[in-house]
Amino acid sequence: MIKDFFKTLVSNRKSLAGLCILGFFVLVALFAPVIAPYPPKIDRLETITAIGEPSLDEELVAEDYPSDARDVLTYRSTLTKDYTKTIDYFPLRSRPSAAHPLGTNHAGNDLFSQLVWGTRISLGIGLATGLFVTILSLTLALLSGYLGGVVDDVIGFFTNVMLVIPGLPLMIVIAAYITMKGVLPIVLILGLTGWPYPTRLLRSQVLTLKNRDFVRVSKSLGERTSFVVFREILPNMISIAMAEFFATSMAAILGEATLEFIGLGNVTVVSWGTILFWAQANGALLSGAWWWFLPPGICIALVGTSFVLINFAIDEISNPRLRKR
Amino acid sequence: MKYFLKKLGLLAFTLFVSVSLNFFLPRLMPGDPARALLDKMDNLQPEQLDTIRAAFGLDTDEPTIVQYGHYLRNTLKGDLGTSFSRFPMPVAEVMRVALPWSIGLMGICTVISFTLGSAIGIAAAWKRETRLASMTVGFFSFVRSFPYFWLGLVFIYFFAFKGRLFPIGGAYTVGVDRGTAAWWLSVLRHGTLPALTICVSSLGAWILTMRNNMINVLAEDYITVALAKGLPLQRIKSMYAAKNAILPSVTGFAMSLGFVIGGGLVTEMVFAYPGIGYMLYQAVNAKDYPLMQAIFLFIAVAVLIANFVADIAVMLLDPRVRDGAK
Amino acid sequence: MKKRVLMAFALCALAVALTFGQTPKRGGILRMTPAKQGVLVQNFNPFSPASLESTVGCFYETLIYFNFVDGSANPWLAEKWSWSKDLKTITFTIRSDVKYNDGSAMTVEDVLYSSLLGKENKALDLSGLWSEGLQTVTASGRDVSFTFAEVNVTTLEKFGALVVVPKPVWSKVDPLTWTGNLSPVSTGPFMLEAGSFNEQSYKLVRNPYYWQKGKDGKPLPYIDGIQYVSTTNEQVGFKLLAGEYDWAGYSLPNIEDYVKADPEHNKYWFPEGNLVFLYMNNLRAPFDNVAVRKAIAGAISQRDITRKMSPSPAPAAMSAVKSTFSDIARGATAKYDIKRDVSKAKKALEAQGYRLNSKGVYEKAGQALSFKLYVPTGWTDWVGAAETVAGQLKEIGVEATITQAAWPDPYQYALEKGDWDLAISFISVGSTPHTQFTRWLHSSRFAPLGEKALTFSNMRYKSETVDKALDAYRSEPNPARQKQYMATVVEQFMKDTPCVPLFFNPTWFIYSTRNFTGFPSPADPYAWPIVNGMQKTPILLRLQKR
Repeated sequence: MIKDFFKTLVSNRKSLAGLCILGFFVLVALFAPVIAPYPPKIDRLETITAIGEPSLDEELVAEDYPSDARDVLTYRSTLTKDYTKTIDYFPLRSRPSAAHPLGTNHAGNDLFSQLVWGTRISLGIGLATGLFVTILSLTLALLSGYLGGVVDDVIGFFTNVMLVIPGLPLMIVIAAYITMKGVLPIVLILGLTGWPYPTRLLRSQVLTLKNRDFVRVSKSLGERTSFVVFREILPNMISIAMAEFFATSMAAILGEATLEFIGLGNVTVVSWGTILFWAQANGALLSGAWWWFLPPGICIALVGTSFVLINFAIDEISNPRLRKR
Repeated sequence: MKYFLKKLGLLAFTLFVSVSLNFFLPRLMPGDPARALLDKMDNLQPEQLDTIRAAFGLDTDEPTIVQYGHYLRNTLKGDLGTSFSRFPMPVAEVMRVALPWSIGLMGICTVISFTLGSAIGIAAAWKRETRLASMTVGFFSFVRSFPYFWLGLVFIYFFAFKGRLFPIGGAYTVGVDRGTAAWWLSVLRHGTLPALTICVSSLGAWILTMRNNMINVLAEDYITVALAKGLPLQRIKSMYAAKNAILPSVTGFAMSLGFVIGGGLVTEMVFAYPGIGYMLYQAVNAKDYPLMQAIFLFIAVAVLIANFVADIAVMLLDPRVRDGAK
Repeated sequence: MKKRVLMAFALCALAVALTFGQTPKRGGILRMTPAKQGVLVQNFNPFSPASLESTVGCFYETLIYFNFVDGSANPWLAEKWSWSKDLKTITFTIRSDVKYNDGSAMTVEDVLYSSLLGKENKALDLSGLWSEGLQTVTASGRDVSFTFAEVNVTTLEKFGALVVVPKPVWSKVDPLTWTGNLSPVSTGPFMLEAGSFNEQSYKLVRNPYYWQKGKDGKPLPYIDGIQYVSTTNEQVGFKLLAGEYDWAGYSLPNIEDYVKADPEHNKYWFPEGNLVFLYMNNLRAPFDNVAVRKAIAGAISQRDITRKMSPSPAPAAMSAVKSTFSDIARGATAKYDIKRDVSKAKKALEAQGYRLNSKGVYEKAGQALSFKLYVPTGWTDWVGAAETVAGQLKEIGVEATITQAAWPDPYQYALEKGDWDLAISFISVGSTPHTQFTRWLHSSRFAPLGEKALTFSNMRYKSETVDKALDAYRSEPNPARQKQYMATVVEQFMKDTPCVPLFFNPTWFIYSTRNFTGFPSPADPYAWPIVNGMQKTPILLRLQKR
């Protein structure tokens, strides 16, 4: 069944396109050190030309005259070589050129390198949040939907309360108070504000499956609960869980960009969102520096579209009616 | 009936919990509101801080539980307190000014994108095989993946700044008397670009949902029967298919209406629109507890009511739910 | 005969031309950006911390006008003043011709009332006089006398913040919580145009009873009014380049594009504002060692930091003194200035016993020179500067990890408690170096680690020499001797290097001469162009329609 699943994914034209785009970005992220000409935060090029021959220096460090017939002299001998260091600073806010295909930003960092390296962070945050939320909501949905009763009521209650609080304001409240280090806080913020909706969705699916004949049969045959959940229900949830994974990942990528834009993320890491943040903080669009402002936005849109395209295929797999006639 | 009462009960309880959360959450966060306000002043003396804190009502010796009781009582009375960041203006006054703009802009946009998006989704499903349908769906999927602020800034740059088609920002033209026809016209002009950006961004989601729903419905047996019976296509499309396809979306639509109040932050920042979203952002930064609490309360009430109305609407529209609930 | 007639005619014409040349142009509405973003709330209460910035300066005025550019005190609502022989009492003579914008006269009663408001309720002490040892205020005739407990001539500048409000109006309400001051009765040059206030704009029109007269003998201001239209950080760039404001107090990163949009009229001037510096916690090792502090100072290149910021702020000298007051730092700079020298800094660290570890960070006795560098969240220009500083410190083997913390808490809180090593922070430079250094270094504001120090005094540094000089300054009315005391302070400061000054925050002043002329500029810095308070009033009074 899993094999069929992937076969369908690849054969569908839309999802193939989506997979290609996503695959492209994943490759870029993995091979960033090779593809990007510079590290993301470098603003200069240093070249050392050794010109001197090594020479031996001797320096008197200490003297001791313990007696008339003895001198104790301590020398330091060092090997020195002259060399020249040439530091070429990258131009600030420059237009695209041969040396810098997308120009440089306000601090002289190469924007193309930043875009490439930023793929890791943006894609990483998106997929990590998607994974986090999917696992969390799947667990909660299975517990809540299958066990029912008090567990369902409690989880359902928390879900409802969290659903009532709008995502962006809550994100702002949390982000404004914690001390930002690294990108883990961002994943947590996005994840903790994003789990209620998928949980609800997945729970309804669990409920639907619970009442299906094959599950009923399994239960009446006396199978253990864990068997029923993991071998009967869960496999049938794969497609909808994956759809939710991609939807959440896309929301996370957009959410990260928005958080960075408002200034609440971690502006010291290099991601597509922070490139946009610095672009706006430096009036890039206003100056007409489209090479600074447009590429990150387009990359975000491309990744998002790839998720949507993949989801098309997943929808068609889980719902045969959607397939091409 | 029991269904109705159960939903109402759940609504009231969730509201109570939200209101309580609104009280405790800001107080759990580190920070001193008096400091936040006075930090701009150079000559800060400790006594000034204490006086301001007293004026805010924060220096009380009462245990938190008693303060909580006061808060609940005041909220029920409708007394939302005095804003810290705009001291000494009452919170109700501060919100009254901004609320209509949020509800107006975001509300209208949500309705427009839902209606338009659903219509396009239905048409795209009905004419699945055509290239136009695929291209439309593909185009809107691409556009909705852009970060909203990015789209907004690009639109301003091209349509308002470079090409002077629309005003750069604000909600209306300054200097025109409020309430006149000219003023309403300026409101429409100023609201077009933000509305365009919001709708373009959110159409995609509605189109997709509707399209899927519609395709599901079209595969149902009763549609096949209707086709076999020879009913006119237009009738099938609207009375049979579309009506049933809309049902699952109603809940989603109601929920997005509920989030109209708080969700406009980026719009308001980018277009300088005087709404509640940006006000909430400022309140959080300034640790303005009363204003934060009041806005969160409004949002909670709006979302819960919207959900409740959605559930009732589903119950009324969908005989299966109605009968099942009996 | 003809020649004489011609001469007379020419002389007459010249006289007429000269007279008309003196006639200032009147009219025009100045378009300004309000400091507050988002929804505007009608709050013109000068005692409210959340009042709009036009409250003091456009509506309400102060006893004297203290010019922050040159530190001079100028008559305003008070026409002259003098210190008593023992320097403990200062007496102001109040003008008799000042009228409120409703036509009623301002009296000495009003001045007395306004001065006494801060006595009972410290939150109403806008000028801070009652916290500076003011004991009594008395009035007699047209004079109002203020008596202090100790000699302190620096209190003169605080009278530049003493706002005068009409007693008949304010004695009936609670000044701190009054929300009804919708159209203020005040002495200032402007009043609110009825019905013009809404959530994104409001309009001020001229006060017909204003007490200052223009060159043509009629009341100032020359302009007809001010139109405030609110905006946001994202929008202001577009609006400025589209020419929608005459005066904007916002930060604009690509200021050159603004000038290019209208090179003849679009101008800007960013005089030095508050000082931003690299904080070191002087009570925590290794920053308790002056050699380590100096080594760190030797890694910083202020020029490199500021050139990456846009627009570039003025880099700060190691003396931490604004350029207009640089003569007090001359001696100290000659002796103790530190220039960037990476190898010298590294050698200094090695002389203290530090050795490079495997990660390229200096280490001594197991403790590596690796610290958190605190920056307020979201302050983009500071975050950029912090990144440059971290890069520069890395070159001398000191690892600084940028840690963002929200402003004002927990950032300010951590600084005050003393729980930090490195941070980027600012000191409000005030009107004179004495104010700046008192706020910064005086031991009365010092607190050991774990206790709360007063605002700005978080370096945990104190020095008896500095204290003595600052205290002596307070009772010294002679400006030359005052300068000598300050020179002593600066010298001790540079000798000890408790922190590293980085740059001066620019005062954002972007304007256009397309519609109005008379703005201050580097060539004519007659006033400090900040939008809050009285500093803007002389500018508003000098502006004329083009």
